[in-house]
Amino acid sequence: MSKYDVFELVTHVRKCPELFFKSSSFLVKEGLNSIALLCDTYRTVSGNFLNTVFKIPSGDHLKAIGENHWRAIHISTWLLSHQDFKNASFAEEKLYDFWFEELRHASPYVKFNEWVSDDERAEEMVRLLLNCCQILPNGENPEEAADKLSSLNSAERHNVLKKSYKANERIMDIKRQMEEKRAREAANTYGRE
Amino acid sequence: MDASSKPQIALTDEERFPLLDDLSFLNALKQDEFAPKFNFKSGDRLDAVNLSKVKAYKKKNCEEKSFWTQEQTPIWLNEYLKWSSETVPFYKNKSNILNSFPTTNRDDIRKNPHLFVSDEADLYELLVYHTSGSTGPKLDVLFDAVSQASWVPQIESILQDFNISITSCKKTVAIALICAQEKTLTYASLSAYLKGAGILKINLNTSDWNHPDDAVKYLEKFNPQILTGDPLAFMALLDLKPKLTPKAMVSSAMKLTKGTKDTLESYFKCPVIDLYSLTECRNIAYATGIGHKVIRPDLYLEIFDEFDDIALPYGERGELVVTGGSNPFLPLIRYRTGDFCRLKIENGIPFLIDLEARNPVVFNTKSGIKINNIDVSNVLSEIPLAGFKMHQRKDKLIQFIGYSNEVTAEVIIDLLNIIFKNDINLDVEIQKISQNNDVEKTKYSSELISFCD
Repeated sequence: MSKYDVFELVTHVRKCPELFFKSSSFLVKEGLNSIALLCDTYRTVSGNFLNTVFKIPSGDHLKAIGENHWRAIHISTWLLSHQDFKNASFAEEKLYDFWFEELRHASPYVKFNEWVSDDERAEEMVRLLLNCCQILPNGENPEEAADKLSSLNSAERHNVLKKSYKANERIMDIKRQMEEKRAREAANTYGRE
Repeated sequence: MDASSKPQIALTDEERFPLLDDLSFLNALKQDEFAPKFNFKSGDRLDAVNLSKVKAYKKKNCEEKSFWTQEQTPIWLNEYLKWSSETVPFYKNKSNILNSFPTTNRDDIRKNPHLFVSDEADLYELLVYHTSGSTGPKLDVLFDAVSQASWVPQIESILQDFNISITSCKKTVAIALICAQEKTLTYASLSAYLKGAGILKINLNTSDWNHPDDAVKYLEKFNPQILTGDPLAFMALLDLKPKLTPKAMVSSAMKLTKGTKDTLESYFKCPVIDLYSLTECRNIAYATGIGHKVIRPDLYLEIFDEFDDIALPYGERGELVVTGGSNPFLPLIRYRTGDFCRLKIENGIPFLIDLEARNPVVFNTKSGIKINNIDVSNVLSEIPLAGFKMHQRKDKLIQFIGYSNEVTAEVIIDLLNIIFKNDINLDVEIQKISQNNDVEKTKYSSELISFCD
């Protein structure tokens, strides 16, 4: 099997055990120990099991992370347990951005279980990770990979919808104002046209 | 505007004239013993910010005019295209290269006026003018108080060519728009830009006045500095023989024939200026001996093929296409005016040569010799016709309706026979001009499908 095959990685995500759906111990007592999970993932990806120093947000930042975001991070550690990411030390330093930037942007628009239950969201997580780690999916060129990610990207889609909603609101506003102002006096006319 | 869509009086005087405290002259105009039965109210709506914008417009575009050249598009063009493609929905996501823009037309504005409004335009400033559609279907034109008031400095820049200036002060009527229609909105107003000078829009129709001779008495009493209107209204005014001494008369909306111009100039002893303007972008040019002299450096003019989006070289005749303007509610990019001419630059100033409204129409003699409507216009422009309609039926009969109090049908028949080489059947009617006309603009049409090549 080729490395970084999107279909293979999506299949892996879809098999994520429900255990990873649990909340974080930062939020609930019986939650997963998120820090331990992140440190283990760092070790697996780097291949350095003796490492004890990891890039983790400070305490205040950790407390600010919401439940849906934590659960997305937990699910992503399952994705990162795939053999393609073992000993992929080049990806280690990218994981921080993936967990605490990319998934933070996407979390408001994707409910945690959809990362697993919905094919498109599973593919979105895979592509977000590959893109963040600067890995080209198997058989794709950079343009194809960027196009496919863009078409799946929940945060981007939300921004497009928001812009389109704003544009539509503006047009409705203009139409309302036109109706109102057409019926009212305007300003001096000085000549014929 | 029909009765159902007539706008309503809806503002206070403070909203009409934010900068004018003393409205005594306005009251004098309205309450004069000879005043018409004004049926509307209007103001210039200029607050301090807007007035400074009108003055800035004048400084930039009316005082020292710098036009484009044959080799070089105007310096403002790239920035204007960039701004339009970034903020105007109709032009969004287009590049800022002029040649990448297709032409637009009146139908685009009529169907989607809201798409031409820049995202940056403040809707609080929006004003709407609903055109009656004398040259096509009805149209909502969106604008603001600044682009509307900029009409005055544009006209001032023309008057400069005649060494005429408008005296800006209270107690004088600066501009009177004369109408001779069955029905129209009429009002007395003031202009903050002209330091409180009076503005009138009046209708000569006797039913608008308490006594039939009040129109003359009222106009003579206030003796407006500048009279504006169309040739029909001016000929109706002439018929009343008022003792007026305007500094200039500005004729627009219809073609002004040389005969009518001479008649008016001879009576009123002032220049009669034939102004070419469009509702969509206001004033563009005025007639001179060598063509229509362009007055707006903030408009970029091109000539296009009538049917295809192909820009034609200088000197070739085609449809006039406009880019630019100062209206944030209707920025124009390659807007087809529906009018035809050639473009020529003389000493750095663009001129529109042989400007003719709307589609050029070719008529046929009985034996099939083609006659261009421009030749008809050139000959008829020598006689005092205020306007006319000329139509050729399928059987080649020419139907002609002219509006004049002087010209007879026999004169027209003689001239048309010369143009058509005595090889045409004619049906000519002359209608008198009254103080309440209800006619269309000068218009050519033909049932024989044969347009200019």
